[in-house]
Amino acid sequence: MTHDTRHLTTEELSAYLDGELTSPEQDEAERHIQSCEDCRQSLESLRQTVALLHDLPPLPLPRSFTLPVEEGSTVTPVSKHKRHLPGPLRRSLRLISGLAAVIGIFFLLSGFLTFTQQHNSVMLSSGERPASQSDSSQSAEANTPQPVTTNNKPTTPSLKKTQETTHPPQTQEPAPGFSLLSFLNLNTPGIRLGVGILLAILGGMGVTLFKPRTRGSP
Amino acid sequence: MSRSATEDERLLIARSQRGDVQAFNQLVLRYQQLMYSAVFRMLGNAEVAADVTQEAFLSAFRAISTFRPGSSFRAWLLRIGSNLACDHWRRVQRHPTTSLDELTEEDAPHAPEQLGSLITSRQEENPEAHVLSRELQELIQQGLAQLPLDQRVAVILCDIQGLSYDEIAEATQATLGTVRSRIARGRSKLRSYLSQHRELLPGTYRLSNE
Repeated sequence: MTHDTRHLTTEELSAYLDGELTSPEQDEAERHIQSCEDCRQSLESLRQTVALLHDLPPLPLPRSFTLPVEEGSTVTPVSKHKRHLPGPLRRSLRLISGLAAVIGIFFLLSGFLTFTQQHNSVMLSSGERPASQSDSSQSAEANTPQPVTTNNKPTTPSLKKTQETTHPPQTQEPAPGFSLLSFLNLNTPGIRLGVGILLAILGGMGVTLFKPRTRGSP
Repeated sequence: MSRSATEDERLLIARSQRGDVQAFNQLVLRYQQLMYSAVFRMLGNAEVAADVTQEAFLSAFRAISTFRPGSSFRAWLLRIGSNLACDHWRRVQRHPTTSLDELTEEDAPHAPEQLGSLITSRQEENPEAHVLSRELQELIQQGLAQLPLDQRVAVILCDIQGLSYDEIAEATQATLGTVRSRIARGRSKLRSYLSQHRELLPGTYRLSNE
């Protein structure tokens, strides 16, 4: 009988009221309540509190909460677009865009610097030192076979480039073929400038586009 | 809810998930009474409750694709509504100068008028229904406001809105054990609060003070 004399806790009484105890618990609680005046009173007062809440009348609506049809049509696509990009993905995309923008600016600067440097040296070599220019061209021509025989791929384009960039004032030949080949050549300052601008613009767009969301949806 | 009604609701939810606002508005019409009433009981102010309810339905429409078919739609809606209501309550608590007046129980100017007009309209509709006095309704509302937020939400969803423990667990993202304990503690505190105002309680209600 010691089990029956233990009073039920408020939580047990509350769950008993809602039928949320397991069936053996429910039976045991019922037995105890029948034999215990204190628990019976406690249960009754709890039941009355619940009844008061239950008797609260429904509130009149101040207005209808339907959504305006035109507003809804603008809401959905935006939310769908945002839902496809959860927080972490947005953040990493933003980081990548930022990096791209920084690399772009770096290319832009280095392209600009080398472009102005080369422009100056070309001015100098064509204007003031015609003799030394012919010397360097001869030595460059002498050097060209070497990379081919050693089959050293990385050095070949750079050597050709130095050879040809020093040439323009004297020889006309490199113009069309060279510009086509160098289209993907980042060593060319002009290309570097172009790629730099492109990266900076795309990166900047990415950074603004993937701004972290201020409001979280539930 | 009957089988055809749940099937109808399932179709409306599916259409809403494809961006159909009119279908979603059908759901709003079904649940606005539930949502507004729950939010009002949590916050105690008609104007604020209306704003929060509107925001809740807008958020619900935006997030409708995250609703899992087969689970309780009203629990899902009330999760959004109660989250927004709790956010609002906490915001007001943090910045009491801005709008605490709106939510303090003593001088909530809208609630009494609203409740007063309500009683008469209800009596006209159904004179046999047991109608609580206006003072008692206000007292209960004040008692709810005294409860900690999590207990208040659990008691409102259970005893006023009639949700099951499972639905409340879903709506509050808590375990069943937590829900059970919150409901019990909330009811017990409310009982103590009400028993301090016995003079307002109907003769049939005899709350023992524990």
